[in-house]
Amino acid sequence: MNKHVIEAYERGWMLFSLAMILVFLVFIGYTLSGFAFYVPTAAERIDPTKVRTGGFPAPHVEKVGPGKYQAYVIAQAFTFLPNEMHFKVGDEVTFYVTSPDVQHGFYVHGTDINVQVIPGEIAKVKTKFKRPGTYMIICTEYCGIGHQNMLGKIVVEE
Amino acid sequence: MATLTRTPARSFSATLWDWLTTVDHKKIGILYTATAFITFGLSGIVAWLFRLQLAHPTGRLFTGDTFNQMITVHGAAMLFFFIIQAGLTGFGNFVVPLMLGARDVALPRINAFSYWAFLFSILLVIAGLFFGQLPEAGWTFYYPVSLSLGSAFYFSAILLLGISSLLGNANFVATIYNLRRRGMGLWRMPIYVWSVFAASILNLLSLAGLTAATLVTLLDVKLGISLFNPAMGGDPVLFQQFFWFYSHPTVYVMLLPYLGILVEVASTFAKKPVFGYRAMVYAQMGIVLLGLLVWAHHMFTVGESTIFQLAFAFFTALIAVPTGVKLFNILGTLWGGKLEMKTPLLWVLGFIFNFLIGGITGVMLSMVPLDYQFHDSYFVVAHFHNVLMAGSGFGAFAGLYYWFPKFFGRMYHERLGRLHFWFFLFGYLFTFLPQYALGFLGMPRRYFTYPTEVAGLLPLNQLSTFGATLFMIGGLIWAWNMIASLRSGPKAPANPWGGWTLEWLTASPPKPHNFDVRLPEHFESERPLFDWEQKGLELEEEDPARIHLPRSSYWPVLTATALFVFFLGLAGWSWPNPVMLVGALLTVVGLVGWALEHEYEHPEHALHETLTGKSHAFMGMIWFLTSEIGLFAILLAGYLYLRLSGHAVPPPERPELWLALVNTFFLVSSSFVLHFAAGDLKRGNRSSFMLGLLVAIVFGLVFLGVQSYEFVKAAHHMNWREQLWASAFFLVVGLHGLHVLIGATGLTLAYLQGVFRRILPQQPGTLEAASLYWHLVDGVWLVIVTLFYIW
Repeated sequence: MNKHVIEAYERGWMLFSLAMILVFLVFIGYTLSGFAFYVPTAAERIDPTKVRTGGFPAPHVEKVGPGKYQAYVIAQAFTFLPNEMHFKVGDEVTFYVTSPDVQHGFYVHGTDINVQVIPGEIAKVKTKFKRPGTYMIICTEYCGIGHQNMLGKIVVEE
Repeated sequence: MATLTRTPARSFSATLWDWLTTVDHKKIGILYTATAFITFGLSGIVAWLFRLQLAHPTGRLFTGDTFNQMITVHGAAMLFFFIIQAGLTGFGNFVVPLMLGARDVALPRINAFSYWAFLFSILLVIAGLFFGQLPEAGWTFYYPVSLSLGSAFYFSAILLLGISSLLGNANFVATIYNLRRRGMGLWRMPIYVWSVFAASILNLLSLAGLTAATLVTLLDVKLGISLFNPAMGGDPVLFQQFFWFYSHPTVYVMLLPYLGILVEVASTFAKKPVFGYRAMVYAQMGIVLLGLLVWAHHMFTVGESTIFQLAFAFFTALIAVPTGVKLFNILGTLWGGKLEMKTPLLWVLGFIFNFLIGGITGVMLSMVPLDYQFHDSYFVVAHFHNVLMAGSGFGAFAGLYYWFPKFFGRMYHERLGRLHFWFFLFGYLFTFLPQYALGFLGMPRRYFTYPTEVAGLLPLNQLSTFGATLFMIGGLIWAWNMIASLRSGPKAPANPWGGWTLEWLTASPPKPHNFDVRLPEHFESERPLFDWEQKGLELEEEDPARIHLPRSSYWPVLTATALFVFFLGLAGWSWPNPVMLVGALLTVVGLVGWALEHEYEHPEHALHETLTGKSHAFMGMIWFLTSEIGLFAILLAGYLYLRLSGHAVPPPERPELWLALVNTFFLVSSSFVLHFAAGDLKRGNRSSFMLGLLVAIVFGLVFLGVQSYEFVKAAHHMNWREQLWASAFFLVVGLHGLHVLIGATGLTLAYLQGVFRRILPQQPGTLEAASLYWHLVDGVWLVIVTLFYIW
């Protein structure tokens, strides 16, 4: 019947999809090379049974330079320590987060901070707070019966 | 007069016995399909119930552990027991042999066994209820939250289901290779057969990841053996690597069969051939390949290196291309066609629009920085329901309505079918579109309550619950439609839709032997009925004397039951316990009965010619072995990672090398002896064959004896609860020992077949498959000796 017409369509379509693949490849390659990502990293390993007994600094925020802070956070069932942190607009903060029990999430809503807190690892993640306001810290990884109560906050003032 | 010709109604027990012992691919397909869709219904009700809880943050309907158990069971049931099964094992079992022009699948008894093992794995999850706990750690059961009794039942169920699905997949591949009607080349297969083929291969290649993750976690619960426990240097991230190595590819196992179904439906109802057939096949195989390379996009927030993240972002975005090709192919098939707006086609149209949204949000999630906004939020929930409910789910319903007349010989009610569609479409839109917004607002998954001070959470959640209620109404209409149509729907003609693939050549429902006619060996395209009609080919009646069907057998269901008892023992009590021992013993009894039974009335009927010239057992086993290689490869990769990163350090006092080398000698010799014995069988030298086989078995037993001695000795000076290396040693070497035991059992079955004169040179029975397995186990051992004893 009109089998040949369909085959011509098919050929055309295959050429078109091949061209599409090439265009996509170029786009993705350009995107990946043209922009720098800041990704969370696993800073170091730690024995989770020793997190509370001196293996990890006591939860606190310390100033390491003008407008630069380091925060040591323990995410445990079912709270963050410290549960509330205060910064000023423009502060650059590096968070070191670990867990003594199961895994948790450390997600600061409205920022690009979202890292899994794996027992046995210290997660390191960095951000600069650009807008004032109250940011919720949310545990995104299911961690047990109190998962939905595991909330903290970061207050950023002018 | 009609009453005289009617066959007397069979008693209930006779019918039950018939279904329990059936090896007919159509009945097994119906069992699979029915089980899958019933699971869908029940699991949907569970979802509606927890949506009711979420209608208000102060809700007290289902909270805490109850809520967590509900979401876990909902996810597990929908994924493992519905969406993977309906399109692949359900419709696949029924339709694929028909589309190929075959009388049954390649390994009918294995097929029956697969179904029963699948059913028992559902029961195993539920069995946790009687021990006080359902799994509650989410269907993803991340380590270490999943170290619980309820999860142990879940692990046990997944391991049993793994056996079932690997056998099922190997069976499909063997069927497609061996049982196509002569003349039907691979490029002449209907697109649905291709998609079952692709999904089966993908599952065979990737399932090892899930098996490894569940096995190691189960061993941690029961014995304290672990590769993940950070307290002894293990790495919980390794769990995620194992888990997602399977669980991402599997979403394509969940999708591919449905893409095939949707294309078939589109082609039939547009009255046009499939558009871009070859492009579609390439796209499918491309999805199989790329699907294996994207798993870590579930782990962007774990803290892996930038280059690692970029690579996986790249492949994830890339996989949108073959998926897009498939979508365009469906559009191209519909384009310019005379669309017949019947229920199956409505699902196709619903699929196109909604799956597109799911695909695009998938690409959004692949962009690493954006993913940090969405990870584990409701955005992700919306995304995967988008692709699974409005994607695969709609495909499942398209298939159900499309093949309903063929399955049951009755038409469904068209109006109710459409009503069902519209309720599901709007139910889906109302339930899941608000969840994208919930994700933006920061609502995480697996919450039974949420903070009221965040504006928008309350109304959006209520909208979502309203949508779930529409789903419930649609579900009731669907259930009513199914029940009423099964009881009193009008009789279906053989080809109600004017389809052109071979299943429409059979009666509705098909007779046990499928085809009355002798199929021509002439195939021009994937639409043989169209081509034959164009050529004016007359189909001749097949001579009934040439039709041979496998006999019903109760061994598959008995063996599956015994295996269920074994896995129940694994989950329910500490090891070892009498339940698992009894289960294992009964399983062996079942296998012996199975091996000694003739598959066909007359054994010579089993000697079918196959398209490839290889036996079904050989084909099936070769593909099954790819998954075994995968399992050892993934566990050894985990061990290598822990060893090279300096965490798994061998203790000074290791199991002795010389003993392992003695064992190597026995195992390697047994492989050679077995090889020569098989040669003796081919030459017809029976007594020398039997002697060789016996020697191979004895060598295997010596190996096991030496290994047991070594383990007992090693357990005295190595503690697997504290030393990571010891854990890895007992895990991998022990698992290999289990494989030697299974292999020796297989060889023993072949030996028994020899004793009872069931093995003939042309008909090697269990021997072929068992020796392939044995040689593989042997090869794996050489790697293990190198990595655990020499290095």
